[in-house]
Amino acid sequence: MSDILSEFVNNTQNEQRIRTVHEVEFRGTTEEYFGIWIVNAILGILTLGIYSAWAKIRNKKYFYGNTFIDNHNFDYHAKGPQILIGRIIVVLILAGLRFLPRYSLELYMVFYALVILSVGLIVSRALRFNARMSSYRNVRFNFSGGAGAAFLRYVIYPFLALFTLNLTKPYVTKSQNTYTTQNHKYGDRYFDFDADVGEYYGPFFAMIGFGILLFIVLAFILGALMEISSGSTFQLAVQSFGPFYVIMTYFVIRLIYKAAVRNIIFNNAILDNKHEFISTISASKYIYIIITNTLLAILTLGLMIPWGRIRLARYLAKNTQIIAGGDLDGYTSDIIETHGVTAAEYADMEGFDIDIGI
Amino acid sequence: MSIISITGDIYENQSSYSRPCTLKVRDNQLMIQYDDLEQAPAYICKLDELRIDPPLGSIRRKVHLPDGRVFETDDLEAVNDIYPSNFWKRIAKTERKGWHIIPIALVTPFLAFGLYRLLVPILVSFGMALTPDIALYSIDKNTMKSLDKFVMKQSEISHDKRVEVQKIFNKLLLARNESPEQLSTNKVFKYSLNFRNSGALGPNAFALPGGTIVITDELILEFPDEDVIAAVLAHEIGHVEHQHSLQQIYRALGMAGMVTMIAGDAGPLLEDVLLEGSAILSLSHSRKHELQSDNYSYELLKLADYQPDGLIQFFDKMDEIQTLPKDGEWMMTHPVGEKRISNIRDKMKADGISPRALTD
Ligand SMILES: [Zn+2]
Repeated sequence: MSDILSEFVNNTQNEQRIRTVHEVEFRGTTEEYFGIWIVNAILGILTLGIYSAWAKIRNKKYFYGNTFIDNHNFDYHAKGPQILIGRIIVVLILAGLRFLPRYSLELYMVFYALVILSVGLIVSRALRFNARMSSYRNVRFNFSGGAGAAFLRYVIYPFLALFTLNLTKPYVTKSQNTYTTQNHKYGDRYFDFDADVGEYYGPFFAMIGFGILLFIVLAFILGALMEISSGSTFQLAVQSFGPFYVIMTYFVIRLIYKAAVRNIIFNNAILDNKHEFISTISASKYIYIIITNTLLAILTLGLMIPWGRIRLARYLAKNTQIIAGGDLDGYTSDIIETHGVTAAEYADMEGFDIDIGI
Repeated sequence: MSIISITGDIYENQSSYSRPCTLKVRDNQLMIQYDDLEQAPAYICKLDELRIDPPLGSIRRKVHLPDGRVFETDDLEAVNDIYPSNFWKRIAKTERKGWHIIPIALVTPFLAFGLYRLLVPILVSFGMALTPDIALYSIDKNTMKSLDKFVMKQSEISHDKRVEVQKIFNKLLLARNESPEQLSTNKVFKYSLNFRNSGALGPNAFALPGGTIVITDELILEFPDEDVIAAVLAHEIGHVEHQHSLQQIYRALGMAGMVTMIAGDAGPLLEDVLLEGSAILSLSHSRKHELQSDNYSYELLKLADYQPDGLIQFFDKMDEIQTLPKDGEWMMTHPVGEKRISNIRDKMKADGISPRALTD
């Protein structure tokens, strides 16, 4: 019986699906985006942040609309008032979280516990909102992951991993990636994802090794500087920047892992059992781009931010491909109605790492 | 009678299947003609039943038909002719100026700074007006609770010494009460002096918004001169009377809110830098607040019959101590500057008080 089955499978494979490789193309330009970005910034400031909701949409629409596969682009569909309401609620929550501990520690604990408990809800609703607001070729994405599963993967597993000194973090990441990818749909078709946890351990140890190395080097330099500067005001500067360097080291080495995880997600995902993806970004190039982008943005008071974002989008697109195992135009959208904008905004502003866009 | 023709592709409702076609618009009527069919244009709907995406850069424009079909085109000019909203047309036109907006762009950081300077005080005074006194006491209580838990230990100063310092404090408060019009606001603060031992904070004193003032053992041991202790305590009372701590809390909140609102999507690393930066800034008192408190301290010391140059002595000594590691915190929470010393010197000169020789 299993022989018949495998023969059948072999036969269908022998039919030789037409496999077409599509490069992901990013067609945005710095000059064009600069205009959009600066108008966003100016109007955002002049309207005390109210325009920022529309600014966000124009931003997203610009990047989605300039990302092409097979000469068709993506689109982002959220509406301004929707985003604005979400933003205002989130700003109020964040302000509350900051102010509350000074007013009443007990109330803060309760409030904080509520936020932690709702992480699963926030993550799942945010993913759903973003998916449903995104489309390719007139067909919307969708996300069907539940809040409980998200809570397990984004709160419980990371917490348990602490007891293993975080050495099981690759398992946590894998379970999160599985959750986000497998629950995503394009139209009414699911993505699938199956990765070997070993793939995560390579970059994970690379991250730790590099972090230790960087830390030793920094400690050495700082120690030397302290020695030289002892007794001068310069020492104070060295002292107060020490923690800052440590934090920055942490942010930088995290990028090593992030770049590798992106590759793993794309290389192990499959859509509708026939379309595959390839991501080939290199951690060093990715880190180089992000660090230089950040430094130039700071040195130019933010004016180079648009240049940096276009540069990053181009790099990511250039290193992404789709191997289509059939036509890309036979899909239809699933559901249209959408809630959860507050969750999406919360996830956005708190910097949750749940964006898996191209 | 002019006809606008727009060539592009049309998608079926909710489907990724598309075919080339031409939209034709005459007067208020929209018609469609498929390129692969020899057919007369078919009427679809009135122009105002369409939903058209706003112009944005040079990305493809979408026209949403009432029946759910979506028309997509690269002919941006033609779509603009039937696009009704002048607002978004004007926005897109400004965006297209690209590099030419740089002069405006260069002004923007200053504009942002100006707006921040303008708006935050308004937000702050709003917040302060809305904060009931009871909230102040609650803030004090909770801040002390968490500081006691994490940073500070019980004082190890002898009982006699504590009584001595408490006497100075009481004398200052008495002087304050005797001249309410000059040195006290109409808010009722619950003043209390707290002694704590704290290695991390070094010789330090700070005030919470409700009137709770903390002085560290290190400060009392370092400065036996009661004029110096009085000066530092008077300075902290100044922070309370001017409600500087509460202003700092609201300022930090306002700043964090504005950073998240405006720079919400600044990019992965930059956002962290901005948020960390605003948090660090909110820790320290502004120079303006310090000068205000110094002036307050000066007046109060005169009324309470203390030497008004206590702060100068304090700064000089702190300057010496600062060179030792781990005592940088007073600098962090109360920035010292030459300006603060000369400010007090100028006042003394104006009042005809000659500075004492430095002790030690
Ligand atoms: Zn001060």
